[in-house]
Amino acid sequence: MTGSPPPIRGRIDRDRMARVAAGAARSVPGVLRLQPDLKHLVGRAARDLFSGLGTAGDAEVSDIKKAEPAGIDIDRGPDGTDLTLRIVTGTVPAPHLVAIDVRRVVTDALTAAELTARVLVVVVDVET
Amino acid sequence: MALEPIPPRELLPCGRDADTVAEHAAAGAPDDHERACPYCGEIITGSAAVDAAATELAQDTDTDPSPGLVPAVMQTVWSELRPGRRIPLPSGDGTTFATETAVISAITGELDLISDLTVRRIRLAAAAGPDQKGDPDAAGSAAAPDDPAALPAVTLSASARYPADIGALAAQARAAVVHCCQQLFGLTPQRVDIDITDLQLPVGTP
Repeated sequence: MTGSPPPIRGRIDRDRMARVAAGAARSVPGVLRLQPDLKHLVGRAARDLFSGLGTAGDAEVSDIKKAEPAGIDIDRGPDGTDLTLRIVTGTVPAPHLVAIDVRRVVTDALTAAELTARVLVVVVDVET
Repeated sequence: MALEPIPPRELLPCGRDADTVAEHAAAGAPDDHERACPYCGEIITGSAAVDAAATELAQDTDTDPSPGLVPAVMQTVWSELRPGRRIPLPSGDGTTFATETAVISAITGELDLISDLTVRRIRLAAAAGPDQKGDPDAAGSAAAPDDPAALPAVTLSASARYPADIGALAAQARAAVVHCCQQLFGLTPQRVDIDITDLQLPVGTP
């Protein structure tokens, strides 16, 4: 028996997990937004370029439909699934407390949706 | 190799060169013919309109954006392109992190409140975490302490406004850095090194 991670059933569950996590994270006081990483931004720019979407608003809709919401990475590893949220916060409440709240709220939301992942939270910027 | 022929200058029906007429108009010195000639008059009128439009455009576009806008935009770009290493937050039990950019951004905001100090650069010697990404050079080389709440060192360079008391200013900045790291991230810098690299003299000082 190998320690294989619990399966995520393809793209649908992956997107569902990301959507549940994004919604929960955005509900936490102190979270200003989820921030996409460079890979995501480049992907979005490429999709815009080739699909002719044109505006940032359209691109955001496209992200939600076609891929994980910006600011969330889901990685399957030997020890299970890691879901990483990249958040931008203000200074009040303190970012390290906001990060803990986000982790708790997102974990609860995933559990309620019968999804399992280790939730990691990264504060990528603080707006003062 | 053949040279491209120089295009002929535009001559008005009256025989005058349009560019020369425009130059005279711009200098405010049209001659008698140019004042009386309808063709030259058209050039003078057009030239004045172009000058007025250019002046108006320059006034619109040469205005600096609101203070802090450009740094804020660049901070966002920088945080997306180069977040630096992840610093484990002590309260998160290995599941919550802050990027170096986030910590530096918060420290910068705190130090901006000190009126006699202008921050030039901030660097962190971050504690090694289990999940680090980014430029390994971005965090310095100080050894990671055992205390998970410890941030080995914060190094900053800044300029001070003359004639501020440099010693008092450095102490104030050091206290602000420690306060910021503790309050916002639960981290305690073990050392805060401050280099005052320049003095800002009052405006008008020779």
